[in-house]
Amino acid sequence: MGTKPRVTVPPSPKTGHIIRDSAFGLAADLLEPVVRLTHLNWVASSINPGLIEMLRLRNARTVNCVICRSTRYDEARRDGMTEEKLAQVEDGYRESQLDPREKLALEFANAYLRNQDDASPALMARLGKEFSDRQIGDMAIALATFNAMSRCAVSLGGMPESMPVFTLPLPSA
Amino acid sequence: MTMPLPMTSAALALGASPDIESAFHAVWEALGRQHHLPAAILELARLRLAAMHRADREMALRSPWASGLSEPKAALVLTGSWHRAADFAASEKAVLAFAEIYAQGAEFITDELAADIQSHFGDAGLVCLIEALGFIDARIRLALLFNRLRPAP
Repeated sequence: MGTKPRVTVPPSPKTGHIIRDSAFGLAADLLEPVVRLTHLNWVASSINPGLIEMLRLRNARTVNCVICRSTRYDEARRDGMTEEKLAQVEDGYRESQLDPREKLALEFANAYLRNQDDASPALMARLGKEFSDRQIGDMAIALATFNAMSRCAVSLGGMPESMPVFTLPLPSA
Repeated sequence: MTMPLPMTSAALALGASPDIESAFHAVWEALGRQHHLPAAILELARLRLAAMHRADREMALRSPWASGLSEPKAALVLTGSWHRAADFAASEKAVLAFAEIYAQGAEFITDELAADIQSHFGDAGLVCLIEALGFIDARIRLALLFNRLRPAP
């Protein structure tokens, strides 16, 4: 994994926005649509922030994006998400103390992240008992966005070997 | 909910909250409008990702932005035989090499691969390519996923 940043982010002007001020700001033609999507995935979702955070962490640990793995969002904390619970969002989640609905969401995430062949009408039937169609669509787009963005972060280099957990406010529009 | 099946990356309808679905589609449309990379080169990268996913419908698809795409080149990309073909410009080969490694894992991208893209398209082109690959790959995965969750009758 590249530990040296591969692009130089212009030093100014800074906007105070985590995405606009990062290397993503260099691709100006894509910036605003990406900023809007990352924002709406949280604030317009039919899924509660705690479960979104679990999906985000499942992706971060699959991609092994150190920054994404260390990030926590305050809205998920307010929704009751704890480190004890997030620690169970690992490969062994099926045997964890997470509730069946959370395990099902992670199974859906794994099908997206690891092998789409694992998806089947039987999985859809089980999802349909716990989630509305809208919720399934919101989870799918959130996963797609998290996966694209964390792979971007890794691709751009400059990833630290490790870093402590830190909490951020939700990305604004 | 009625969704057109089977879906492709160019025609996804996921049934998400309207604002979220619309914002996701807006990123796709922005890929077609961006000025950091030639659209035909981006389409070659999309086809390479589709082939690596063995996504038949995606391989048959041509994106709305694919005007100017060379079909003989597309065929070489789809079969993975572009490496030895003389028809490709250095910039096209740089993007295809980058896309192939990206598909295998972002952690495998080397400084050399990134520098090759920058030599042709600058820093903005590199960032745009990385974002584009992320969202193109996302749409291919979603189409594959939902076509298996809800197979056509």
